[in-house]
Amino acid sequence: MFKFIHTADWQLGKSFSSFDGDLPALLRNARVDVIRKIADAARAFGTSHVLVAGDVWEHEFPTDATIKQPLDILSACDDLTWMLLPGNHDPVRPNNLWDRLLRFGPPANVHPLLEPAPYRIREDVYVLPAPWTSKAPGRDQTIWMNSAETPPDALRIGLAHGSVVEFSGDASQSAAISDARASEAALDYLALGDWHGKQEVSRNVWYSGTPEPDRFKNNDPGWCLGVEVFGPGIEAAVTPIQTKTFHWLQSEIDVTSVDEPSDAMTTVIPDGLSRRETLMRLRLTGLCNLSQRSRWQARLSEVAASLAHLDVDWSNLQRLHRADDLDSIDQGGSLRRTADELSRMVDDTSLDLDRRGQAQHALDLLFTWVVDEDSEDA
Amino acid sequence: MKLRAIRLRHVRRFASNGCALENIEDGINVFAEPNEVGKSTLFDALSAALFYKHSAQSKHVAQLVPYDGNGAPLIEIDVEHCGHLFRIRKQFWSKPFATVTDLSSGEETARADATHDWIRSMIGADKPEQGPSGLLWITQGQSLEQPRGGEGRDGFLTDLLSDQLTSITGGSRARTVISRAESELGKLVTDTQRPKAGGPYKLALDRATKLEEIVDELTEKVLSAESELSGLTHVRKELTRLHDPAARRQRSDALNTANQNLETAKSAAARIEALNSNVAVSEANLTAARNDHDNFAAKSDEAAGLAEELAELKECRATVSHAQKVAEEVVRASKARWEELFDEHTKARQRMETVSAQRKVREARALLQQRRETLEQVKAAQSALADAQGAVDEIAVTQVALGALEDLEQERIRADAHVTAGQTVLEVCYDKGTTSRITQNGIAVLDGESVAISEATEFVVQDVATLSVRPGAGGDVSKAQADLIGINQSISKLLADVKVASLLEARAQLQRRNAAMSIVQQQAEVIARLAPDGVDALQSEVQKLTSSAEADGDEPLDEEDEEELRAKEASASEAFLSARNQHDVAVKEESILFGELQALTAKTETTEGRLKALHAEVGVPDGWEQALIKKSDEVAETQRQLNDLKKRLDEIAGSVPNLDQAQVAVKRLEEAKANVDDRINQLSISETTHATSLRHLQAEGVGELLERESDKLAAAKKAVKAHEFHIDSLNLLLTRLTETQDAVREQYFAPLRDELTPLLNTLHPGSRISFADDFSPARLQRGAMTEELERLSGGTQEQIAILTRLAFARLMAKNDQMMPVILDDALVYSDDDRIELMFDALNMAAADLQVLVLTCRQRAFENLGGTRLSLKDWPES
Repeated sequence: MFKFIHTADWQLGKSFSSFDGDLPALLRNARVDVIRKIADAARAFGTSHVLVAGDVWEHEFPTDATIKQPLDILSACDDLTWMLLPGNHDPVRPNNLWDRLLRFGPPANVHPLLEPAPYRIREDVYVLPAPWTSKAPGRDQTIWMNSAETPPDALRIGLAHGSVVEFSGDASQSAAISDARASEAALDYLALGDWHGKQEVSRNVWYSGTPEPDRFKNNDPGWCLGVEVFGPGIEAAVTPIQTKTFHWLQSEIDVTSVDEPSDAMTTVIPDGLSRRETLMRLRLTGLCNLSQRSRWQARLSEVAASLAHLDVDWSNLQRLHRADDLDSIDQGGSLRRTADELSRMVDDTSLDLDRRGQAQHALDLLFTWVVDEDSEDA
Repeated sequence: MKLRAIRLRHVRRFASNGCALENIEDGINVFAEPNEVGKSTLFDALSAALFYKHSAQSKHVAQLVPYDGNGAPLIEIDVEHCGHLFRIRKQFWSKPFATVTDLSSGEETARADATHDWIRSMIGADKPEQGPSGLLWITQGQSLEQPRGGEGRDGFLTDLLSDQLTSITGGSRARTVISRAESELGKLVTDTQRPKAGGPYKLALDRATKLEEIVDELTEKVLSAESELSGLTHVRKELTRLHDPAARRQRSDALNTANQNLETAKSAAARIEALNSNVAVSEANLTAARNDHDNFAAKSDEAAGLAEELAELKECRATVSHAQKVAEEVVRASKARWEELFDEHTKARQRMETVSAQRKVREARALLQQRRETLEQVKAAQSALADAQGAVDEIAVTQVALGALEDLEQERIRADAHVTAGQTVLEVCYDKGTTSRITQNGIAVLDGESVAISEATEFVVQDVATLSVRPGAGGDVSKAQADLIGINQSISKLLADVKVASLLEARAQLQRRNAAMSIVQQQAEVIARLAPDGVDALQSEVQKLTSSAEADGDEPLDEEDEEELRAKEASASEAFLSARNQHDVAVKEESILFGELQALTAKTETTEGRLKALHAEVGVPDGWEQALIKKSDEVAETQRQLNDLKKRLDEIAGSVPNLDQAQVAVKRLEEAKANVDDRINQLSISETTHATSLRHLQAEGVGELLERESDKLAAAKKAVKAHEFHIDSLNLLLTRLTETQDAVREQYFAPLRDELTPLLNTLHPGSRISFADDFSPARLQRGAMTEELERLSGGTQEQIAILTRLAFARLMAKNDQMMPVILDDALVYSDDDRIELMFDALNMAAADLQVLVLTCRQRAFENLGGTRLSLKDWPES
């Protein structure tokens, strides 16, 4: 039996600069800090071996700091052995990223697996790595595992990066991994990277996902896997261990049936979640009137203040321009006439979407300002 | 409400006697008095009575206290309201009271504070600046101030027009929206919709632009890094290949082998050279043997041929020799014949020449005779010419001289006529029967004689008197006389020069001279015709002909036919030439044969010599065959020896490397080795360059930075787009709201504009007023031009202020809100013409109104019409 930690897609150096303020730096730091969490998970799981299935770095040309600082953390975790595999983001090309790493003098406990050759972890345990040598290798790089020679009774653990044909559903993908690789190569476990969510592909074939989420995709990221391999024909035991700091939530609320926005928000932001470490993309759908929208806007402003980031997509929210809404702007006169005209523009399908959107925004502004003034007067 | 009277006492300058302005009628009422009469006091008092409580102690009320300090301000106003006449009495400051009395019934309608409420209900306001008075009254010094009808629901006029203005709600809210939209827009863009400096939109645009530049730069760097990486990889791959030990060993082995081959080739080279030398000797021997054989064969063949040729030559020479001897005989015969014919021809020619010479002598003699006669004719002509020339020479008168004389004669005639005309002449005519005579110098002047007097002359009349006659001092006569004398002198001199006595003689002389000259010319022409080459040439020719004739002598001449002789000579010549040709042919033929014979002789000798020489070389023909066999054997032997040598040479050359090839191979491989070394050096430099550049770019983290800046750029572009969306939305809101407001305002102000426009057109035809939301006139539109009111002249502004008030008043009257329009010195800036037009407008508006005009411009307002008001005392009863 052999125990190890399966992780992948650290994507160190990923920018996140489309966000404002300090958030990009916090997110970048979280990706580095998650290494310690993985180390802790390994210790807790009772292993000293960590296999990283590709995309350790986000770019081929990262800064020196982006290479060196994680190495320092890995070095500090000297009770563990780290096996790093080049992926499609950080392929091994002569004189580039991995050579830079070698120039820095990688710690003794860090082993870049840069060749498709059996790597002996233990006398009876071999890792068969399939490193990426370019961003578009144009072939299944795990095919060599079929003919890889290891001692007869040794455990064979495949370490690869990329989509599996069956899993990706794209057989034409040039570097797709055969879904029969594990059986053809007599692998006791195939540790995969590339898919950022935790996912079992088939028996003894897993994607660990990224340990620290990096996008709004509900595919269960933020884990590493504790794996126990027992031998040929025996299913490996896989234990997911959560490692994430930030939560990237993507939700959709149909406002039509929502009376109180606060209630709806409670349902999409689970209790106990650290809101300041939560990023949310909220898509509002359904139908609402001007005053409801105003209420949503006010409530979401409050929620946004407590979250790390809130991105609201209003574009799918249909507005209902009810008479009482328009009456609250004015019952007659120029304001009402303007509101009526804007409302007509919003519903006018002969106008382009931009113009209709501008009309909606103008109507929202008109409503908000008039309501604001009325409430101030009151 | 209509005002009927104002009375006041103890108000400012009006003391106990007070004053009263009564009989105020409907329509226009004019109170035109000079300054200091109290117009403004009346205005202020009216205002106090209507809008201030009797108990008030405000500044306005305090200003009413009498200047003499006696008494409390008392104001009494009669007004007509709802068909009744009421009297309002208010006393301020001391013992204040207020009452309203219905004058028709005499009942007190209100008292004290109720008075104020009653007035307010009548007017609709309780402050002077509000309500209709605020709208309709113009106080002194405020003629330019435009009326404001109030704003929104609180505005007096708005309330008044509420039926028409139901569509207007939230005017201030709309302004707030516009103000807020403009404020937000103003933070983003300028008035011309350009990004505002320092604004968030401009900052976002600038940031996006800057980030684009950064991203472009980083993209370049990433491409550069890829390029450096590719270059470095290629270089290192190449270096690895060049440093490959197997390849290096292969290159080294190849060079060693080449060097060994070179050494082997060099050692074999001496033997090969010796063999080559032997081969050369052998080849020379073979050539010599072949030559000897071929030479012998050729010469023996030649000798055989020459022997046959010699026999033929000898036979041919004998034949030609015989023919040549025959030809010599023919030549000799033809020569004799030729010489005989030659003599005959010579004789014929000589006879023909003699006869020809004699003919020429005869011709010469005839010519001599002819020339001698011509010479005689010439000499006669020369003599005649000399005579005529002598005659010409003797006459001095020429055509020129005669011309000059003729001219002088004309001048003389003119001068003489002049003198004669100007001269004093005494003409004497004696009486019949008288014996007395007039004498001059003692000489009697004859009867009928004329005496020209050119100087003082005395005439004596016998027994009567002595007459002294002096010609006048006329200059012209004297000058003419002097000229005449000069001309006469010139004529005399010229006559003397041509040796004649008179002009007539001169004319005759010239005629003779011309005749002689004609003869000279004729004779000269004769001479020229007879002796065209000159007389001397003619004489010379005669002499020559004479000498020739003398030489020929006088012998008699033959008369033989010259032509016949000439024919004979020609015939002889022809025969001679024919013989000569025959002789030449014979000589030529003989010469040819002689030449042939000579040639055959020489050839025979040469052939004999050559044959003799060949026999000396190759011997007699009997030994030729044996000798040739021997020489063929020698050739075969020499060939065999050469073949042996070449075989040995090929064997040696095939067993060792070629020296040149070995040298080339060594040179090539040494150069290749040097090239590899150079290439390695170059690649090492290139490797360093690529590695350094790549290291810098890698350390910079260009890929990571590119993604970071690209993300920022995407966010910046998103922000720009959001701003633009917001700007477009704000513009849309503003545009729609403004357009809607304009439409609403147009509807809103329609009733007021209906009242104002007819009045306005009396002064400004075709013009139109735009109103602000508070009903104040804002802009005047005249034709295509719209002007802000404050930019107009003072006169126009105050005219519009008055007309607008009149329109307000008419509008209120139509809504049962009658209020007088009070204008206190309201036309200050208007010129005379416009005042007249304003009077028309006032009269037009006042048809349904009551207008009270207070003015100090008495004369200017004389034409206003209406009711003239005057003050009278209102003493205490």
